[in-house]
Amino acid sequence: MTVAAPPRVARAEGGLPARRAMVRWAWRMLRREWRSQLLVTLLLLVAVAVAVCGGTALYHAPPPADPTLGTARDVWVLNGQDPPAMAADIAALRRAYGTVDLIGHTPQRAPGLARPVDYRAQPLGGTHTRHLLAVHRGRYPTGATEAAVTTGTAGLLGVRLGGSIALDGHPRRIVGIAENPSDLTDDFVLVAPAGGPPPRSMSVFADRHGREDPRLVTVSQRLGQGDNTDQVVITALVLAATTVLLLLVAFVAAAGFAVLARRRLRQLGMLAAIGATARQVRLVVTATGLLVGTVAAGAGTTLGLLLWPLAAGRLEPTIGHRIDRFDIPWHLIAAVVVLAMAMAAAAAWWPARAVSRLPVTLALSGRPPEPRSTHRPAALAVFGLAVGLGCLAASDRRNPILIVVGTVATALAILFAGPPAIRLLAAAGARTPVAARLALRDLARHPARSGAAVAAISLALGIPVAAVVVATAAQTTAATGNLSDRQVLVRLSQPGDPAALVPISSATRLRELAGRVGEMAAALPAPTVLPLDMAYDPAAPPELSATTGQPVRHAEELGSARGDGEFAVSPAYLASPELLRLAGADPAAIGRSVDVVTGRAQSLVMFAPSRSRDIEHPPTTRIPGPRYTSLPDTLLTAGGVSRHHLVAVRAGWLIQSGQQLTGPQLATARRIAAQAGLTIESRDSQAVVRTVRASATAGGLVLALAVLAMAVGLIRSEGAADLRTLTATGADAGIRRTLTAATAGGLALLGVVLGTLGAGLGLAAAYRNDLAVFGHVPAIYPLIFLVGVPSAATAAGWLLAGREPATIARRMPP
Amino acid sequence: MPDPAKLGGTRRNPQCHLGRRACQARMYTGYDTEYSPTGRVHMSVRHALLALLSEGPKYGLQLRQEFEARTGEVWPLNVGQVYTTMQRLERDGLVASDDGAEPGPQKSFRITPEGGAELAAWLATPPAADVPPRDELVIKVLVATRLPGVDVLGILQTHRRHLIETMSRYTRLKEDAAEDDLGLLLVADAEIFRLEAFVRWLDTAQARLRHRPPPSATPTATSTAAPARTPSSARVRRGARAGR
Amino acid sequence: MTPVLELRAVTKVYGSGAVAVHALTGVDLSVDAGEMVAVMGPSGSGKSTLLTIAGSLEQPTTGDVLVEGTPLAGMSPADRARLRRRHVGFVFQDFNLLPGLTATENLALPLELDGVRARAAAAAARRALADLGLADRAGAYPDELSGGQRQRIAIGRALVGERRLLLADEPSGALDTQAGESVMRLLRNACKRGAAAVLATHDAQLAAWADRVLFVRDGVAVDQSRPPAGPESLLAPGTEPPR
Repeated sequence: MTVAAPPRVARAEGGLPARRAMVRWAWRMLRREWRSQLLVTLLLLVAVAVAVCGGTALYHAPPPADPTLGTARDVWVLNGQDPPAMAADIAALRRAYGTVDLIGHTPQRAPGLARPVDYRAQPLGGTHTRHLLAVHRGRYPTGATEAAVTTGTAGLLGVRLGGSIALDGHPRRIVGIAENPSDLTDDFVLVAPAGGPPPRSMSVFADRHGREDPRLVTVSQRLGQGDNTDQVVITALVLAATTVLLLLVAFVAAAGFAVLARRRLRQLGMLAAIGATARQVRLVVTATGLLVGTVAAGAGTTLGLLLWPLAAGRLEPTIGHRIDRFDIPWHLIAAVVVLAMAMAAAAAWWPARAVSRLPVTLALSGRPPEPRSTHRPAALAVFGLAVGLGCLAASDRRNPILIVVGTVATALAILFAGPPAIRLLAAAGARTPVAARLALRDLARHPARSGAAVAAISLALGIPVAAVVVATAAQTTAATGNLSDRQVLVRLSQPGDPAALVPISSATRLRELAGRVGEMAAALPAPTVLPLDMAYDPAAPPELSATTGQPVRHAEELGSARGDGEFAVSPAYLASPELLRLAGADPAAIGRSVDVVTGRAQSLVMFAPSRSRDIEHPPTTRIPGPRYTSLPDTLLTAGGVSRHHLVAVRAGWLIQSGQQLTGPQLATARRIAAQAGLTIESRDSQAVVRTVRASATAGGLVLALAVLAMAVGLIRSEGAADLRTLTATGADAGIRRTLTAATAGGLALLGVVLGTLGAGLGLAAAYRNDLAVFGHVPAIYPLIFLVGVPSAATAAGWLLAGREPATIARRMPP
Repeated sequence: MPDPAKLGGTRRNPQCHLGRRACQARMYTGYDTEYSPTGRVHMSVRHALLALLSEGPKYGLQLRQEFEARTGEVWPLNVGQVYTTMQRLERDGLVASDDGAEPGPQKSFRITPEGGAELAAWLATPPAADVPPRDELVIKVLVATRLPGVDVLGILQTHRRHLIETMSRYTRLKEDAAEDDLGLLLVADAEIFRLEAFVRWLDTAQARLRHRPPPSATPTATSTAAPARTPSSARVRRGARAGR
Repeated sequence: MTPVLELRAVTKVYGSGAVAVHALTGVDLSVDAGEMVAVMGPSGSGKSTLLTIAGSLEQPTTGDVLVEGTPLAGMSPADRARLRRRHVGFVFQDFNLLPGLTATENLALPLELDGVRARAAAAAARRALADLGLADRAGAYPDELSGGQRQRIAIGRALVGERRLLLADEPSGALDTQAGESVMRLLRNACKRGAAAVLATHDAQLAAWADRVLFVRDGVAVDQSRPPAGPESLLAPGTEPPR
C-alpha cells in the first residue's frame, strides 16, 4: 500500500492543457445552449455590423484625394501662352522633383453656355493624379480625333457616347464617358495629351518635399496641401463611437452572462469539486464571453461588409465622389473586431468572478447567491441619470466630452433602471388575471434575464428617439446651416475653384451678370440684393484657374497658421454696413485703424503685396460672426484696402427674399445662374433630416422588436415547465396566449417607457434652452414609439403563442 | 430480551452441518426467527417439498439436499423434519411412496394429482400478512418509552447498529455470491429488505420521539439526545427537518 | 500506515450567535486504504458537510483534516484545488458529469486540469472506461447514458489518475435497486484495489455495503458499527457485539 504520493513540482494550475480543456468545454456548451446567448450575440452582432458598415462609410466620406490637387503636395499652374517657356519650366520641375504629372487645360466657348468648357489633356493614372480621372464607360480617347466627356458635359451639350464634339473647331468622336472620381460635379472634355488643342495652362503635380522651387517663368499660380488627417480623425471618431456603443451592449451582455453563469452554477461547482481552480472556473465563463464576442464580431463584420456595397451605392451621389468599394479600412475593422471581442470578454468577466468566488458547496447545490437588493441598481440609475443630465445640461450641445459622458451615463441609468422597473410592473400587475400576473411575476423573478431584455429594448428604442429629436432640432433650428432659407449666394468663381479666384470679367459682362442677378431677385417677394466684393493686389499678375485654365484674379485671402509655415486660407470680403450687420457687428463700432473684422477665433495673417513670403498681422477686431457658415465671416475694412493698396473686384451677390424660398423659386434661380455661368448656393436641403428620422425610427423599431421577440421566446421557452403544469391544470390556448402576450407587452412597455424617458430626459437637459424642439417632432413618432411598439408586441405575442411548447421545452437543458 | 445467541445459535447450531457461509448468516440473524411463526415455516417446507416432487419422484435425502441448494443454504433442514413432513403429506394423500420400503434415505416419493392441486392453490394464496405479528422489537421500544430512566434513543441506536451489522453480513454474502447463485441472491435480498424495514421503522420511531411532548416532571429525557435540551431555535428547526 | 483520510475533532458551525448552526461537532474519523466507511444519518444530520470538509470543499471551523497525511489547514485555494485533482474524487447523487463533454472527456477532465496533455489524458480515460465495462460508450454524452452508467463513470472519474480517496454522497440514491447495486459493487471493487471510500447515505441498504458505519445525528458521531464478523467469529458466539 502506498503512502502519500511523492511530492511533485508544485504547479497549482494545469497550464495549457487545462486552459484548452476549459475553452473546449465552454465552446461545447455554447454550441448546445446557443439559444440562450442569441440575444447577446445578436446585439453585439448588430453593433459590430453598424460599426463596420458605418465606419467604412465615414472613412470614405472625404474624397480619396483633393478634387483639384490630387495627392500631390504641390501644384504649379503654368501659363501656356509661351509654349517653349512652359516646356522649359516643366523640364525644370521634372529635373528638380523627379516624377511630375501634367494636366493641360484649354477653356473653349460653347454656344448657349455662359461658362467655357474645359478641354482637359490628361493621361490615365499618374502618380499624383490617379484619383482625378476615370473612364467609366467606353474607352480612353487616343489621337487627335477622339474625346471623352463627362456625364454633365454630355447633358449640357446634348451629346452622347458615339457622337461628336467640335468646340475647338476640330471634330472629335466621343469614345468614352469620363469623370473626376474625386468630384463628380467636375465637367470637362477629355482629350489625349498629344491630340488635344494647345493647352492654355498646364497644371504640374509634384511633391517638393520642402525643397526650394527652381526658377520658373510661366507660373501663374501655386497651390499646395498639407498632410490629410481626415482619415485619422474619422478612424478615431468611429472607434470612440464604437466604444460607446459596445460599452452599452456590454452591459446588456454582462446581464446575459450572469444568467448563463447562474444556470451553469452546478456544473461550475462540479468543475471546482473535480479540482479546477478559481481561475479555471473564471476562464470557462470568460471564454464563453470571448467566444460569443468572436462569433458576433465575425458575423457582424461579414454582415457589415455585405451591407457596405449597398450603402456605398447610396452614398456616392450624396457625397459627390466615387467610392472604391474594395478599399476597406481593414485596420479600422480589425480594431472594431478586437474591441467587440474584448468588450464581450470583459462583460463575461464580472459574472465569472462572482461565480468563481461562490463557495463550492453552494454552487454544487445550485443555490444561487443571495439575490442582490434592488435598491442598488435603483440608486445607480438615479445617480447615473443625475450625472448624465448634469453633463448634458452643462455641455450646452457644444462640449463633446460632456456630451459623451452625459450620453453614456444616461444610457447606463436606463440599463440600471430595468430591474427595479420590472419589480414595479409586477407589483402593479398584482391584480390582473392569473395568466398576466404569472407572466409579470416571472419577469420579476428573473430580474437578470428580463433586465437584460428590457435594457436591450430600451437602448434599441432610446437611440432612435434621440435621433428623431436631434434630427428634428437640426431641421427646425433656423439659426444654423450654410444659409438661411431666405438667402441665395451667387458667386462669380467657378465651381471647384476657391471663392477667392475671381474670373476676370469685362465691365459689360459684369453689368450683364448684375442684370441676371436682378432677374433672379425680381421673382422673389421683397428682395434685397447685396453685392459682394473682394480685393486683389494690382501688382500681382492674373492667374489661371486650376480647374478650367481661365484667367482669374486671386483676391486677398487671410491665413491662419497650421504650423510648419503653412496656412489655411479663407477669402476676405470688403466690409459694408450690411455685411457687418449680417456678421453680427455694429458698423459704427469698428475703429478706423482696423484692417480686418472677423468672426474666426484664430489669429489671421495677411500676405504682403505681390505674394511674397512675408506675412503681416493686420489690426483685427473680433465679432460674433454670422449665423450661417457660408456668409462672409472675414471682412476687410475700406481703410485696410487702401492701406494695402488693394483694388476691389466684384465676387458675387447675396440675394435675400422676404419670405422662405420655395422650390420653384430656387429652380428658376438655378436655371438663370446656369445660363449666366454663375455659381449659386442656397440652404442645404433638409430632406436628409426626414430620411434620418424615418430610417432611425424604422431601424430602431425593427431592432427593438427583434430583440423583444428573442427575449420573449427565451423567457417563455424557459418557463415551458410552468406552462405544462398550467396546461395540466386545465389552461387552454387562451391562457398560453395571454401569458406570452403579457410577457411581450410588459417587456415592450418597460423598454419603451425607459428608452423614451431616458432619451427624452437627456434631450430635455441638452435642449433646456430650446424645449420648443419637442413640439416640432411630428406626432406620429411618439405615437409609434409609445403606443405602437407595446401594442404590436402584445398582438404578436397573442397571435404567435397558440402552439404547444413541448418541443421547445425538451430542447432546454434541465 | 432473549439472548440472540441462544435464540439463533444454540438451538440451530447443533444441526449446522451446512456450508460455512450459511451458518454464519444464520448465527447472528437475531431478528429473523422471532417474527416468523414456526407453523408458517412448516407450511413453506411442506409446499417446497411438494414443488420438488412435482419435477419427478425423489428420495428423501435428495429432497433435503435440493431444498437447501435452492434456498441458498440459508434455511437449513434436518432429515427428521423432511421425513415428518413427508409422512404428513402421505397421510393427507398429497404424495405417494414406494410401498413396503422402510422409511429412510432409500424411500422414494412422488406427487399425487391431489398434491399437484394443493401446490397450485398454495402458490396462488396470498401469505397471511394481514395478521400483525407480535413484534418483539416493537414491544421493547414501547416498553422503553414508558419506563422512567431508560435511554430510549440509545436503545433505538443499539438496535439500529445491530440491524445494520446483520445487513452488512447479508450484503457481504451477496457480494461474494456467484452471479448465477440465484437462490442465495434472492434470499439475501429478502433478508436485507426485511431488516431494512426495521431500520426505517427505527428511524421513524426516533423522529416521532423527538416530537413527543417531554414527559412531565420525570427526568426520563435527560439521557436522550442532547439536541432536545439545546434551547437554540436553530437546533430545533434542524431537528424538525431531520424528522421529515 | 498513514490513513488516507483522517478527521480530528472536526467542528463546523455556520453563522454565529443566536442563528449559529452546528453542522458538525467534534467528529473523528480515520479511513485506511482499502476501507469503505459509510456515514449514516437522516437528512440534515451533517453527513454531507462531513464529506465536503473531508474533500476540502469547505474548511472546518475547528479541528484538522489530513488527506494522505497532509493537513489541509492553511492551504491556499489553488492548493486545495490541486489536492482535489490529485487525491480526492467526489461522486454525488444525481449530477456528476458535465454536459457537453463525452464520457471519455469527463473521465479525462481531472487529468487535463492537472496539466496532462489532452491525448494522454484521453488514453487514460479510455482505459478507465474499459475497466468500467463501458468502452462502447466512450463517445456518448451524459444525456445519452443511463443513470447507472453515469454514476459508474463518475466513480471512474473519481479514481482516475492516482486518486485514492473517494467521497460519495448518496451515489445510488437516484437509481433503481439493480443499478444501485452495480454502483455499490464498483465501489467495493475500487476499495479492494486499495482505494479508501467514504459514503454518506441515509439508506441502510447502502450503508450495509461498507466495512464500517459511522452514525451521525445532529452533527455528532453517535455510534459506530463493527466490521462484519469473519467466519472465525462464527464459532465463538461470545464475540457478539455488546448491546
